[in-house]
Amino acid sequence: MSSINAASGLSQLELSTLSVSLGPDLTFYGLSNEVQNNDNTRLIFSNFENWLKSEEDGVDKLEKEAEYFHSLITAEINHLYDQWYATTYVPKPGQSLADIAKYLNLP
Amino acid sequence: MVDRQTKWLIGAAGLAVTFAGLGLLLGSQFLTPVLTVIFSGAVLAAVVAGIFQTLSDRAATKRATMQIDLQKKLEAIQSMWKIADQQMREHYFPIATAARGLSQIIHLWKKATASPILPIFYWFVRLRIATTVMLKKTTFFILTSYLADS
Repeated sequence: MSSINAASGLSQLELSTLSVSLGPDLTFYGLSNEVQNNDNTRLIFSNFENWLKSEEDGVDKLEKEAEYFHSLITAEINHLYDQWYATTYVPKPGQSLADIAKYLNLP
Repeated sequence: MVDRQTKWLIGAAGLAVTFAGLGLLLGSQFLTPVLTVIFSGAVLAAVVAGIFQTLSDRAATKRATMQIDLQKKLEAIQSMWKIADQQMREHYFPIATAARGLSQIIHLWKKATASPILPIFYWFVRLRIATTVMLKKTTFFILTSYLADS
């Protein structure tokens, strides 16, 4: 997260505005409409796109950080569930993107 | 089928007839001490049975009280687990899911050429939203706890 915030064209304030204005029940289609119809969101998306195409190292770092973040939380939760219920409860790290998309009702 | 009360009555009547026969045959000088011993024994047995019954009742009451206390403690622990479980589902699961989605979609995007950027942006925004929601809830919890303590 720190690497993308430090990139040129993306500001912490803009991203925070985006995450506050869009609710937790955001869908892919909702974001797509938002990008098409909202100038502010479209500008942030444009900056994000430019950053993604220009900063290869930053993208790699973001991918690794996100994977590490997921593994860390999953390991912690699994550890707790193992103690509470003597079994793991959350999806394992090997869960596919299709399963996550199905869970979030994505196409 | 003869019930228990009838058996007791028959037994008592038989015992009375037996002692009456012994009294007639041997005289009251022999019968009186025998009856005294039997009566004393019966009273003693009744007292001992009463004491045992009281002790047994007390032990049963104590066991029941301990079981109720244990049940209450268990319910309190289970309630705590449920709250913690709910908090984790509400906050940590979305973060973990979004982080996983972001890393996987970037991985797929790097492998394929001319893939759309919007899915990556979507997972990125979801991760930020999930983090923001947790941050707000955590801050609210800290502030309310601080105010409650002060």
